[in-house]
Amino acid sequence: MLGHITRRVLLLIPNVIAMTFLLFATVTYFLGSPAAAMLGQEASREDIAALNAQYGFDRPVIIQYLDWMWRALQGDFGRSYTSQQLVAEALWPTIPLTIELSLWAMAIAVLMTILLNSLPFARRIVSAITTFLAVIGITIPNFMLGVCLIYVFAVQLRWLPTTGWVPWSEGIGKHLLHIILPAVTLSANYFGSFTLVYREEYRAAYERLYIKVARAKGLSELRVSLVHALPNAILPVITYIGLSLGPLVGGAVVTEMVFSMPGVGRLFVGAIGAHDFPVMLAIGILVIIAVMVANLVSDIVYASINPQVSLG
Amino acid sequence: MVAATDNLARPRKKPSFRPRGLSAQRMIGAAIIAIVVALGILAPVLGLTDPNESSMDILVGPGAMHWAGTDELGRDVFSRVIYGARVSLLVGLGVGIFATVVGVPIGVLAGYTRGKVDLLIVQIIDLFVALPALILALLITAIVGSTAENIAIVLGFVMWPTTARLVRGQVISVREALYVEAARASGGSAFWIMWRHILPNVVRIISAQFSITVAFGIFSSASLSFLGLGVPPPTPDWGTMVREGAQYLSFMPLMSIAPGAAVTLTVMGFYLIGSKND
Amino acid sequence: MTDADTKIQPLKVEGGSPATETLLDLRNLSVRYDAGGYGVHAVRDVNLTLKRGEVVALVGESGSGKSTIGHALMGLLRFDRNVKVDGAARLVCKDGVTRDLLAINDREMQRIRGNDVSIIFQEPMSSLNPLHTIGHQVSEAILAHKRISRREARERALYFLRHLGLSNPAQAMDRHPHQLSGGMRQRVMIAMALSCDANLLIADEATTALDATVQAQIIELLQALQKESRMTILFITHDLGVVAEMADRAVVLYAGQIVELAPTASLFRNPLMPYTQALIDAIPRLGSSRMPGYELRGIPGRAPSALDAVTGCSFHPRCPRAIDACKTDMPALEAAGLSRLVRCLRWKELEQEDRSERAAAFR
Repeated sequence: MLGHITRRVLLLIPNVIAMTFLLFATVTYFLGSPAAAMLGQEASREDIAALNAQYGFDRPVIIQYLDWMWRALQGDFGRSYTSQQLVAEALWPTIPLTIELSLWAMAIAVLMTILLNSLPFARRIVSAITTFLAVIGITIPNFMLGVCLIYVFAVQLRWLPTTGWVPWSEGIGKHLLHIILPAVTLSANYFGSFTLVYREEYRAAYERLYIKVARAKGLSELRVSLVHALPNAILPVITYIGLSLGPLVGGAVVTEMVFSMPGVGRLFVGAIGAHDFPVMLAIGILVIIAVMVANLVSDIVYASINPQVSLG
Repeated sequence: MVAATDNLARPRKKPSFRPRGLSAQRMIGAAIIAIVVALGILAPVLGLTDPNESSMDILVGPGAMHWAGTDELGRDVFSRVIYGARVSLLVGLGVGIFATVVGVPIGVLAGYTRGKVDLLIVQIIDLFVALPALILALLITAIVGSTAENIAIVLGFVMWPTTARLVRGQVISVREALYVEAARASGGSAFWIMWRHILPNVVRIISAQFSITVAFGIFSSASLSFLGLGVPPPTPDWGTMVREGAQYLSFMPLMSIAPGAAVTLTVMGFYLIGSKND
Repeated sequence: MTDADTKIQPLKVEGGSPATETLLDLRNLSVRYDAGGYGVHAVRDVNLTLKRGEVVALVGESGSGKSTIGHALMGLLRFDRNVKVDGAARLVCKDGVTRDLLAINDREMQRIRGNDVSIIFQEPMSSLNPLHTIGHQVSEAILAHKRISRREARERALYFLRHLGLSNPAQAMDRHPHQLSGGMRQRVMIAMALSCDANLLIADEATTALDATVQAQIIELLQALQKESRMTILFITHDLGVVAEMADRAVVLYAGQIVELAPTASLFRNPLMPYTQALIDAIPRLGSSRMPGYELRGIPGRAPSALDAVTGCSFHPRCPRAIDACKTDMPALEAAGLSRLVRCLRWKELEQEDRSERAAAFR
């Protein structure tokens, strides 16, 4: 098993390099040198050239890429053009928030999916409601759902705060209150798609012979449903979770904007608006790497759970 | 209880099947799309207030004059929502067309030639499929600038791998079927028959995916606008409207909710037509 | 050369005490599927008594309703809302109480499944949950009915696996189903079915999906187990060879009804219903192609689907000895000698005809 993992990781590296280089090259090529932006409208050509040379923007792309990667591996992502702050410093505190939000959203989506779709009781009604919720979840854009939830729960009912974020240090209760709405908003889409996949698999599992055999053994319906049907239905969902990690990042970006949360997403959007090249690049590349690694992890998790998949 | 001499002479009918393709879900989707498209196309002749005309009636609630109230510049929200359909539909369709036009040939190429070309294409597809679509779209839009056309192209670029993969799968299964058929049947007639049977199926799948891609396009371009990186003002655009309206949520919720509902409904319409659920 | 000589001579294993006590009494069993407003009868008015220790074969083509009877006895039809089961199935349970399996509530039925009645199915490949180990699944069967500790259940499971001839049972306990062969999986199935000492075992085409050698092994195994425990086996099959080998009695089903019932030897020596005769004639035999004048006779037409309209005898469209009366009058099940039943309007005259034909052939 370890050998297989090592092999997958090694295979990952060229992919990562290819993708990140592509990204780097594109951004660098199109944005050209930011020197003009930095120096303002009246900068002379010589000034621009001098700045370029100083920052090394006149070197071939490959060299720039390697240089950037080398520095990045040491934790140096350069400086933000707009705030002149070290990118690493600006980026670091935002990461935990985004990760936490994503984890909550995934957890909610998975739990709700399993809960609403596995119980052998009141099938017809629950199924209809769940389908409705699933379709809404998939089609409603994050921002619309977020806005609606804010309107209902924060503005009208005043049960929850509207926006913002409270770190753990200032109190668990407050922190959780602030994170409920964003987490639910982000989870909706995935609840929708997971439900549709899971339900299909669950139904398929029930038609298998081993369910009949389980019943024939004299097991209770509840046990048949939880011990025999559920584990088999969940497996494909795990793969699906892996595939959802990419879109999840996009969703997190929007959600953070809706709820004004100081996460990676908000930083990214700001950087895009201001053409803040180093920040954009750093986040873009990190996200790509993170998603690829997460995919690999989910593949490994799947393989370790499913005894039929032989590793290596 | 059934007696031994029960004479069950009445002929039993087999259960009837509803014609394919007309499920309730599809019909709802089609209805929604029809309405939205009609509204979008007919917007100028519906006698609506100019969506860009500001007035003195700022942030007025819904009433006889303004069915959905006015925004912070006094513009009629209802008319802006209707006009907003035009941009969204255009972008959405653009995304769908681009993804299909690029994805289908590539998928066919991959499925038909197999071998090294196929392998390469599959690698590329796999690479794209896992990546965060919105992030890529944001980055690229930042680089090339955000106009309606650019957005459509960028989003289409993000989506073509999905279409390509689907098409490739179909082409591969057609090929298998053809080989089997050809091995048994006599000459050219086999190919012609398979073509007539398989092609409609493939077309159906491609158009379903097209619909879903359009849904994705509308969804994502609205998200981009919401982030402030979409179609520039003053063109009424649903995502931008939600964003601007968010500040006034406490007293004029309709400013955000109306366009947001419009996006949701439109996306839902295209999604319902294209997806296969029960 | 007469027909009598080429009929199969049953090779039954002698043994087991004479069957006397009644274990299961089926009365007027009917199963009806409701499909889109129309009712469809899969099983019609079946009466059968099973005694302790006997092996009874339920024979028929697909669509004859034989599997449905097995499912009905296990209470598995309760999970399908469209199915209606009528009649009574009185089983003498291990605790001495006689219960009607079709009338008890779901909870009681659950307690009986696996404990008093067990079933093994055709497909060993998909009968076991791919995600759980063999040990887990067999122990689970045991723990469903016996209040013992998990460790004890595992030991018991191990015992059964060994008893069923699994090589290296301890290792098998920790394996997953896909790691075992088809024959081993079927043994695991049987182990699960027997692990709570059920008195009635239903084998639903249990050997059909296995290849010939494995099939023979499983049959031997079942015979040995049966001899040892005196359990009753209801063997559902379409394979007459298996019937000849295993069964004390054979019940022939057609279109959901019993058309003939007889001790196996008599059935093969002297089938009374044309359908049974046709079934026996349709068995290919080794070396038969070299016998002069011998043709492999299949049964023309197709087995009736439960949707078809029925007037008169259900076999008449395919029966080589049908007359006009067969089209309109539904025959009843009649006694035909020592523990024999036949459902045919003409059985007496047909038997006479055949007898005189055989006598003529000798001259």
